[in-house]
Amino acid sequence: MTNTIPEEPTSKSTLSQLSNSEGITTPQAQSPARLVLRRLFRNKLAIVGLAIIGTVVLTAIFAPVLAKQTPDKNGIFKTYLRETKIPPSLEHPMGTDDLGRDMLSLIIYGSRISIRIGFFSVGLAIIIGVILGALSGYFGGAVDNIIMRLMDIMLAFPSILLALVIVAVIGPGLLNAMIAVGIVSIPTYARITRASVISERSREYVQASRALGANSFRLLMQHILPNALSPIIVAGSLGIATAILDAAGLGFLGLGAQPPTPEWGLLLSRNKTHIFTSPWMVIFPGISIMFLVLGFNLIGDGLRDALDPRLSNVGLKAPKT
Amino acid sequence: MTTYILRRLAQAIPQLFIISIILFTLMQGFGDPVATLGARTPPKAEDKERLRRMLGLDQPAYVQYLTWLVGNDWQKIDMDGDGIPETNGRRKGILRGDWSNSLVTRRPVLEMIGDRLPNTLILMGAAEIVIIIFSLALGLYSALRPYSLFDNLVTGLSFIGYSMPVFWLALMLMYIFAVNFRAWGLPYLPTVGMFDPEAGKTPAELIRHMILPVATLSIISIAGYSRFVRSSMLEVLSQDYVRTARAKGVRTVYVVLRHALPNAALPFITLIGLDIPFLLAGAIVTERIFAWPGMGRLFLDHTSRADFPVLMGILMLVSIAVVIFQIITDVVYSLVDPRIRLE
Repeated sequence: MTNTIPEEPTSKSTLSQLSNSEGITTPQAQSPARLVLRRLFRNKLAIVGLAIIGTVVLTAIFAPVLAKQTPDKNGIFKTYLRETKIPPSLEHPMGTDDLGRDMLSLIIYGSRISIRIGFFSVGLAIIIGVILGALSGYFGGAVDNIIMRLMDIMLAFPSILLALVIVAVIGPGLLNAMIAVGIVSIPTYARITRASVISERSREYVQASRALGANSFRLLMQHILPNALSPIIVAGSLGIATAILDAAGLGFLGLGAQPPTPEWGLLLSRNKTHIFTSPWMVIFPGISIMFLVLGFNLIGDGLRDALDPRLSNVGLKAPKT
Repeated sequence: MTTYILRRLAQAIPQLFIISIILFTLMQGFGDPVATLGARTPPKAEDKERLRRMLGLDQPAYVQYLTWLVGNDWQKIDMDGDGIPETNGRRKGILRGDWSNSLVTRRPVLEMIGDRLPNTLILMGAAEIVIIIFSLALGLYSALRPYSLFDNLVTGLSFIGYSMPVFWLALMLMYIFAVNFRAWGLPYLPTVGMFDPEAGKTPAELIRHMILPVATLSIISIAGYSRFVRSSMLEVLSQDYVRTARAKGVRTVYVVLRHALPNAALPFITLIGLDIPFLLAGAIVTERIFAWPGMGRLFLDHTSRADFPVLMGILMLVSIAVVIFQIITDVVYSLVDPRIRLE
C-alpha cells in the first residue's frame, strides 16, 4: 500500500498531477466520468472494495447454486436435529447452528437481505432527501426554514434512537426497519442537495437558461441537480455501509428482520447465547456484516477521493450505539 | 457574548416546543400502554378501561400533551377511574419541573432518569476520554508520517474498525477476554452489570466491569476519529505558516504542538462537542449486551411498553443537551479561534 490514495491536494490541480505522472498529453480530451473512473481504479483500496461488493453481489445472485441447503418457498430452512452445533469442517465450512442448519447456507442467503437493505434504505433516503433539499434550496424562505428545521430536529438525536422511535410507531419487521433506517438518513442528502442548489441557483448559466424560458423543474433537473451528484454518490456509498450496520443493529435488538429470515444481525442475536459453547455461530455472521460494510466504506472513500478531494472529511463519524 | 448566548437560548425555546409536539405525536402510534400492564393474568376489559381513565389515557392526545406540558392541578380529574372527575389533578407539567410519572412503574420520570444517568455518564464519559486521547495520538502520529508503515496499518485497521457492527465487537471481546481468558487460566474480565454482588460496590470492581463496554464503545469511534484528526492535521501541516515556522528553525515538536495542533483540533472540537449530548442517551446496543443499567436500556425497555412519559423525558433531556452543547461548542470555537466572532 504505497501512495495509493491521492495525497489530499488542497489547491493544486489533480488533473495536472495525473497527466504528469502518466504522461497524458491531452488531459482535456478525457470526459469527467472517465477521469473519475481512472482515479478510482488507481486507488487499490477502492479496488478491494469493488471486489468485496462484487463477491457479495455474485453470492446473492447465485445463492441457490452456492448454498448447500436451500430454504423452501416460505423461506424456511430445514432443520437437522441430529447435526446440531457441528464445528466448522469440510462439510460445513462455517459449522452448523443449534437447529442443525448449515451456517454457510444461512449466510449466503442472508447476503441477499443485506444488499437489499443497503440499496433500499439509501435509495429511499436519497429520493426524499433530494426532493426536500431541492425544494428547500430553490424556493428558500419559509419552505426552506420549515424543511431545514425539521432536518435539524432529526439530526438532534442519535440515529439509532430515532430509528427505534420510528420502528416503534410503524412496527417491527424487515421492511419497516429498512424504512426507519432510510428516514433517519434523509437529512444528509437534503443538506447536500440544498447546499448545491443554493450555490448554483444564482450562477450565470442558470440565469441564462431561465432567460431562455426554462421552467423551474427543467432548471433543477438539467442544470442544478447534476452538480449535487458527486457528493450524493459519495455520501450514498458510505451511507449504504451505515444503513447495513443500523439495520443489523435493529435486527439484533429484535426490531428488524424477524425469524426465520437469515438476516445477519438477527442470526447474531439469536446465536449470541451460544457464544460460550459454539463461537462459530456468532463469529461468521459478524464477519459477513463487516466484510460487506467494509466494501462499501472502501468504495465510498475511493469515490470521494476520485470525485472531490475537498470532501475528505465526509462520513467519518462513527455513531455510538 | 452574553447577549449571543441569551439569543441562542431564546431561539431554542420554540425549537424545543416543536420537538416535543412531534415526539408526542409520534408516540401516539406506539401502541396501547395499558396492553402490557398487569401481572401474568391479563386484566379484564373493564379494568383496562378504568386504568386508562385513572392514567388519563382516555383523554384526547392534545389534552394529554397539555397535561404533560403544563399539568392539570387546576382541574378535577377522575382519580379512581369511575368516570366522574372528582379530585384535583396532581401533575404540574414539565414546564414547572414535573416530568410526569412512568406509566409502568408509577415512579417520577426524573427520579428514574436520575437513577440511570450517573451509570451512563460514567460509562460514556470514560469512553469519550479514551476516544479523544487515542484519536488525537493516532491521528497526529499518522499525519506526521503519512503513508508510512504505521500510517498504512492504522488506515487499514480503522477501515476494519468502523465497518464492525458494535454488537459483534462486544460479543467478540466477551469471547476473548471473558471466555477464553478464563479457559486459559488468565485473569478474565466480567461481562455483565456494574458490580459483582459478592465483591461489593468498590471502585476497583466498577473499573473491571467497565473495561469491556468502554473498549467496545471506543474502538469503533477511534477508528473514525483518528482518520479525521489525521486529515485535518495533514491539511494544516501543508500550510505556509507551518513551513515558515519550520524554516525559522523552530523544533518540530513545538511546531506540531503549538502551531499546527490548535488549528487542526478545531474541527475535532466541533465533532466532540456535538457528540457529548448524545452521550446522555447512552449506548442502546452496548448497554443491552453488557447489561449496563444506563439510559440506553431504560429507553429500550420502555419503548416496548409504550411508556411515553419516560421516553419523552429521555428524548427531551437529549434535545435540551443538544441545544446547550451547540451553544457551548460555538463559544469554545470562538475562544480557540479568535478569527471567529460571536455576535
